[in-house]
Amino acid sequence: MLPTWLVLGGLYLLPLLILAAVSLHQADDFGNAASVENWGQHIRSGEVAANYEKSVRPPFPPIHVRSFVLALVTTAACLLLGYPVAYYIALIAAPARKNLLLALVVIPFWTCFLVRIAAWRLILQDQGLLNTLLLKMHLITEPRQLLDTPLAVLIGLVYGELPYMILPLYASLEKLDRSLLEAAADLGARPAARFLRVTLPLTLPGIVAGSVLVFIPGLGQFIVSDILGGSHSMMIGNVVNDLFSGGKDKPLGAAIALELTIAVLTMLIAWAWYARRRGWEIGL
Amino acid sequence: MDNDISIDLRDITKRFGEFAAVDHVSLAIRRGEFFSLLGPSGCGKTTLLRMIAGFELPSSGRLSINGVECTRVPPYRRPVNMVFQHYALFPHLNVAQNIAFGLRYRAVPANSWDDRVRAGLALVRLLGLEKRYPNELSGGQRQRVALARALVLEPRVLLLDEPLGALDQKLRKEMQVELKNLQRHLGITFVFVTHDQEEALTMSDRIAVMNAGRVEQVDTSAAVFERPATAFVAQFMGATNVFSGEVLNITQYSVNVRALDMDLSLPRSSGTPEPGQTVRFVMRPEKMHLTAVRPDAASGLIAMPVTIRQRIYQGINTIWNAKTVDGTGITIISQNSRPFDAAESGGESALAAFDPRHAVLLADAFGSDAGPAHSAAARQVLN
Repeated sequence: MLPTWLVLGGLYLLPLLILAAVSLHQADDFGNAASVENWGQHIRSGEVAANYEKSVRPPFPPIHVRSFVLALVTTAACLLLGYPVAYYIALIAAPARKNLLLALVVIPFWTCFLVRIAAWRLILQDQGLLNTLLLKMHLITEPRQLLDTPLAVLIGLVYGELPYMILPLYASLEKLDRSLLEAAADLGARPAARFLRVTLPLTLPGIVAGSVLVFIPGLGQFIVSDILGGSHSMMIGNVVNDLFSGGKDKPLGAAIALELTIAVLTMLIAWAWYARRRGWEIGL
Repeated sequence: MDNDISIDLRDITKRFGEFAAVDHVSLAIRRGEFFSLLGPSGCGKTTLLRMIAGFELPSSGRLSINGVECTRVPPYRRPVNMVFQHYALFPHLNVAQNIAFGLRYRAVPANSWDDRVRAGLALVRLLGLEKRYPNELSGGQRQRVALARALVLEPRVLLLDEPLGALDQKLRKEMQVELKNLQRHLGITFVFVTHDQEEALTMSDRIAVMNAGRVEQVDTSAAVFERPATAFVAQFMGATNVFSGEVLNITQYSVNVRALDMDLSLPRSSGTPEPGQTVRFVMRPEKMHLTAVRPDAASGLIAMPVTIRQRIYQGINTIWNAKTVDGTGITIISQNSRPFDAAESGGESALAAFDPRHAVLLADAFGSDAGPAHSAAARQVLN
């Protein structure tokens, strides 16, 4: 359809091409792309790829690794927390209560994400809710520093991404034919075996979809790490944000942003390929 | 405990809230028999089967399988297996994996699984389809996989929940015969749930006819068909001609009844009515015929004038809907054993002839084994 391509091309592809073009330049004194006098010379000298070279040199590699690990741990934590919740709503809760429970999952979206993450500062600070609770329960003897640590970023990421895990999991659990579980029980499988041999494999599409929906935004996050992470928990998103809005080096920022985009795109294509091969319905 | 009893249900009741889906049912299903639970939808037959499988727990009553009390035993510990209505094949596993699913929970060594799967496939004649997935199979093939998946576990009892419901007519007929042969060959107990009386008659050794959570009659196929105990069973089996009359007297073999303006001598059934009591009896539609000439007295046939209302040509049979003089609707089925003549209408009026020795007195009208609440329900169906 023409309008679809117009919208996708104008709003998505064109900015991406501009970004790619900017990433090939050097920064001027104001951090903008300096004009190139001789493109032949620019390419031959390798200056054209200089930003991509810079992006894999210190101080960036630890930040890349941290972002990747944080996104991965966030995904795992969301899966472990989200699966029981989705399972409860889809298979255990009374049908009349399902909509209420689903609404409770979605309601946080009604409040600005920035405000909700800022609220976590109050919970995580030294005299905050969490420390007070842990002290009262005698689990710790003095307040622990939680704010401005990678743990705080992780908590914020899990909090923010959890609904994106619960909803696709719920969708796939809801579709699960209960007579399959009865058949498994009839054939001799106990509850744990039923879960591992029937429920889990049949909800794999939901697990993968939820993981993709959590991992990708998690990788590019900068608000959570900015507000809860302090200076030692920077993620790729913070670097890009810094290079652009700080007016430091837009071409370098463009190169890093493009790398991230390509990494994410590769994962999406791999997912789509795998899903198609397995015959899952994912709408891609 | 009787050794011949495979499944023993004692006073089983299952309530969902206020509603009793199964209401004080007692049944003894014999070892090695093909037993059908027959009834209209909502009569409790599937709930009863699910209680035998262990998917539902009875609200009260006791259930034993092969002499072992099983009332509250979870499904995975019961020596029964089930073929589900929509087969419930695992979509993520291929045919061989589906059939092998339960083997690891039995004392079956892993190195013999392949042999067992092959034997199962051979039993249902599906060899060669091991690697197919359920969505690549036809309805009939899925049905067979479901059967093989249950049978490789060598259950003592196989439960079947309307397994032929999703198949087309032709395949259904074939599978009926095949299932019956399989049951004979294996010699295990089959408990088969269906709402199709013809299907139940074709396959079963014995049938329990259920209505509104209760068992109306348990008997052999022929007995349920030929000698219905209650009005409900009679109606469900297609014996739609029900007449009532007053008992005149009772002899050793017959009950003399004043009905249809005639004195009829009807064969006795279970239970004994008293003179003066109103009773009902049924005449199966295919045991009556239409005639223009009054049969002579020596034949023992009774004839009554009727008005023909409708003629339904069905190929093998023709169904005639008619009304008696007092306005009672009756149905007569005649076999089209002679060349078809479209012009032959039988006329507006004719005689409906039948042999009163073929009539069946309904026991529920004067109360035999059935309780009073029971008869009330049956009467409601009749009205």
